[in-house]
Amino acid sequence: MSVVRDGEGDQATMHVQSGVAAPKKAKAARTPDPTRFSPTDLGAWGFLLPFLAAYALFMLYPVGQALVMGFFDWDFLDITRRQWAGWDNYRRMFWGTEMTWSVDHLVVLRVIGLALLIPLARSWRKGSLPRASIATLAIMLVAIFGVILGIHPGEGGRWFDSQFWLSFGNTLLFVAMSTPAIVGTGLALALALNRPSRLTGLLRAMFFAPYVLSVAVMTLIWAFMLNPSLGLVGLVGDWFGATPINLLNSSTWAMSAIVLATLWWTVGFNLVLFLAGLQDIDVQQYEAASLDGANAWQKFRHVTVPGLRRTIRLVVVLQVIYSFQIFGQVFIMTRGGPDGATRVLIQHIFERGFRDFELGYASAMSVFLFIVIILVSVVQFMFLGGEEDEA
Amino acid sequence: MRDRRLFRITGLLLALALVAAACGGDDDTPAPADDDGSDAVADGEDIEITLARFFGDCDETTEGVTDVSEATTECEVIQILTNAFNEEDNGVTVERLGGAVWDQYYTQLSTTFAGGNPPHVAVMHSHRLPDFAGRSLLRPLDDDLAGADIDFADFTEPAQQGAMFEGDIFAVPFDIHGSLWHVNVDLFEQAGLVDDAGDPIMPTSVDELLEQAETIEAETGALYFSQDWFEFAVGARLFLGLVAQQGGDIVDADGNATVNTPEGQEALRVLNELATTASDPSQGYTDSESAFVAGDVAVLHNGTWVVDQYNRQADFNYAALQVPILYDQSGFWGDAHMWVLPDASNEDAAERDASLAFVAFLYENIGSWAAGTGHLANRTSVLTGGELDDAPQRANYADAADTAVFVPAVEGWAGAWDSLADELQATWISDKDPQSALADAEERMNENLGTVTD
Amino acid sequence: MSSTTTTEVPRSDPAADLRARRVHLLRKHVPTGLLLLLAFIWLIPVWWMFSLSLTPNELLQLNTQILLPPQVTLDNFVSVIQVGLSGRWFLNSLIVASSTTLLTLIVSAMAGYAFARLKFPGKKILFPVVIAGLMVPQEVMFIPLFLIFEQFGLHNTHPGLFLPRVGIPLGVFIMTTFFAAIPREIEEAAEVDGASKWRIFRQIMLPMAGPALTALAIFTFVLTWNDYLWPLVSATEREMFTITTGLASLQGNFAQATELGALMARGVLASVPLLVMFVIFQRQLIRGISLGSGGK
Repeated sequence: MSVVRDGEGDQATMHVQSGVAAPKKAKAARTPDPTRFSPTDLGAWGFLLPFLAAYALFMLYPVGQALVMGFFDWDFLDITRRQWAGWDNYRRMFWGTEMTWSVDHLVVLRVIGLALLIPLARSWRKGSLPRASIATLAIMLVAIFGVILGIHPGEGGRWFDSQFWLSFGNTLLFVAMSTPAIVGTGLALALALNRPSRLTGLLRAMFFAPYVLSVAVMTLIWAFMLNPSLGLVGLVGDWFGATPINLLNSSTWAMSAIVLATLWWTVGFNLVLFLAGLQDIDVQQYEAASLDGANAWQKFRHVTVPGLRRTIRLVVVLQVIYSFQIFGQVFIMTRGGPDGATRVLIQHIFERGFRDFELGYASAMSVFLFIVIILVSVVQFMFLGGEEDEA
Repeated sequence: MRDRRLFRITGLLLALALVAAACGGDDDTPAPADDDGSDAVADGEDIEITLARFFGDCDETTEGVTDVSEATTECEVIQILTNAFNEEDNGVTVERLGGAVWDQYYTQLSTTFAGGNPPHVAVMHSHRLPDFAGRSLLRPLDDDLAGADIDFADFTEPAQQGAMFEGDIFAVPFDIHGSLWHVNVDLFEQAGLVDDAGDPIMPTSVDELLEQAETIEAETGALYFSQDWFEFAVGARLFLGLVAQQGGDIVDADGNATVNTPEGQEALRVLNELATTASDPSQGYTDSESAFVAGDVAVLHNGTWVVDQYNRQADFNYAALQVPILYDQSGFWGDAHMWVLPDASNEDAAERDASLAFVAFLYENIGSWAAGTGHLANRTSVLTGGELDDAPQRANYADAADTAVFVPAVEGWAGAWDSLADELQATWISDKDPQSALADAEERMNENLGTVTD
Repeated sequence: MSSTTTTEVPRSDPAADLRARRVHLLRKHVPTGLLLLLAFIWLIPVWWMFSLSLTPNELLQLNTQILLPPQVTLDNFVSVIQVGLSGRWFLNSLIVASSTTLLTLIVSAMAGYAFARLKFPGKKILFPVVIAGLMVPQEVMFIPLFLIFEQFGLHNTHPGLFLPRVGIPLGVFIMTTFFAAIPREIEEAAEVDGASKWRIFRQIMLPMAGPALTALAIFTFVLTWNDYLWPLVSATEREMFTITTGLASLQGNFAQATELGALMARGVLASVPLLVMFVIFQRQLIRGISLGSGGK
């Protein structure tokens, strides 16, 4: 027989665990007892330990090393060329010569960013979102779009790393374009295919199928397909009597082509997650809504969306995290071209680290990306549903 | 009920996995931790050395084959040579490491260096040598070559240059590969551009080049020129060649990039003329090649590695020629495959001798490699010795082995080359202004070469 | 579908009946029909890949714009299967992917339950720290990881290939999300009955999280199977290649120009097992009309 402490709030309830006796669970009023620590489920660490062990060994340690390397001039191959660099790597990343600040640098982007303060202000007045979150976001907006984006090299100056901001900008563009597209498509497909029948089973497999292709194969197919002389795009063009351009070769369209290929390849991931999430919505709620005379759209808004809220947050957060780290397929399909239009930050990191052997500098850039992703995720958690997943 | 089935399937997979892992046997062969010779086995057993190379994998078609004349691809030649070496009773067995697709070779190789456990012998491009030699990761071979019966002086001038870094020899060259002008002689004939012997007339100046382009297009309707304009930096190779033909250099003696020069601007002008009037700049590697093989294009700028392939495939009169000399002297891009001995794995004398023995064997077979692949043999004795007489087309470009122009032997070149190729491409793909493209290229190249400091 | 029965009013007008029935049929089948059409268009690239894999390489060097093979050959597939080690590579992939999936499911489910339902100090901080592990790109992390494994002599072993992935927090994130969605009443009922946390976990939480576990299993299996960078640097001996690196090693230079059919065939062979696995397991994703609490 074992005695286990288990409790809601601060009221400890001892119950005998023998599988036989039925204990009494006192649901009395909770009075905070300041002399006790917050309760711990004893088994908790047992559940956590296997994962935490693996995580500490195979994640924290390498990530920690990468963070530290960011402060070093760390040659990948040559031990003798490793020395402390302090903030040099970061300076090289962010800064340049003859740096100055102007109001009109990147003015359009900055105005759009600052315009987001308007809906924020309205939200503040209506109280529809926690004010702390709104305040934080507002401060971030002003800091980034008002101040930081105004910094640039002036006359006769140059960025130390001309490719850094360009590639970061491309990554941001990719995230902005791909996230709504891939999340939205995944959700739409999941809603359409959420029925247990052979036909929908087949359809689910069909839409998921591209996900099983490796990156090498997927990029090979798309690079060929989009080439007018090699691929199906050319056939389609023939039917219409026109010669299409190679999208991957156009600085205007290359990024969109990459987004499309990525959507085709990875929507299966979101599809599966959304399907899993849809299973947890109680069917009876739909029936009740029907009895109340709700139409399909109303049912979607008032039953599906709230029920899917956690899943939506999961999917969006994951999608953003992965989109920020996009690399493989872009690198293979366009090598960052044409004219740097699709060079993303990870490509830049990879090239600096493994082509130029500057692992310290690559690590510093990864730290920057890491922090950006954290900030974006924090904002997402703030706005996509406040409740935390905890008991 | 569903869960039970799922459970059963999972259990089955797990059981299978465990059984397979158990039956898999000793697949955790301990990688040699340190090279104090602890792995060299004495008394009659062969010394095992590890080899890293690209060129693909073709064990199936070469299983047991040791006659190199049976080879039809790069992979088969090198694999058969390795088989032949292992067959010999020389006390050395070569084991090949691998798994890398072509463009991930250096990621994998670098990782082995970083782990302190590189292979005994590795293939390396000459344009990569400075990065490894400059970090003292490779064994200098000046004193070893004589003992291994390798005559360095037999190598042609460019080959020797490519294998040396700051005065020391770090590699044994295996070939020179470079730009070639692949020509559809039939189209030239149709346009009246052949001489009495039936050979195509090559232009001797830029104006002649552009005139030929017009003539061919007028007389045959075919495009004059094609090359890979965006996939593999082929345009940059032509740029390098044209600059060299004018006597220029893309990097000066101090290691600064010098592409924004009169020679550079001229070379870029020619490239853009070709792109706009004589070629289709939307073509990449595969489609430019297809177009040539299909007979739709008169000239394809590609390399030495496809000579045998085109010879087989083309149903027209095909000639592989050197890049025409449009200015004062010959000049075309070249690179080399070379064999290097990483220092960390060759400290033990016995293993080192084994590595050298293998490399010496490959040295002996440079002719076979050239014959089997289309790359240039880089040994004067091989070039003049008649070994390649039967190989198709070789006579047309044999003296390219003496005149190839390699990229500058400086550290950080890989990044600089990418930057140059990027900026050049921008002029014919995005219509970037050539002046600013070359200026930007210089800036970025200097960033890569580390000659720009804060 | 059920709404049509509630709005339909029996009438004695046969023509109107017919119209109503037609509308009903249209509403029922057109969306599905459209979906089917979309799905077929969706798969055209895959079809094309399959087509190319059945075409001889020499023909492909001349023309790749085909929807049907001009000449069917099995050579591309045979040449892969003939590679003596390909069976071994396939087995390696199977072992590594299965082991990773099993371990990940167990470990993530346990940790997910802890984060979703159990109390312990520092949970508010630990959870974000764990999720943050998703935000560092693999390209940067694999070098330190490589060096650790080098020290422990784990390269060119199966554990060397599957262990690192068990630390990836994707599973924990997913399982935490889905466990948190399970209604508390069920758990509380079990607690009243005196069940331990472990029993609750095993007999209530796990079964209810079927779809989430299935999703995680699918992702883990596919991602591990297609992983390239880590096996590239860790399994350098040919017997230890996975099917991904093994097939890559067969590629010569400019392979897409000279052996496109073979490349596509390799792609097909490497993907088919994954698709089969998905088809088998995806039925676990949909619970069915009688849902959820108490169902099954």
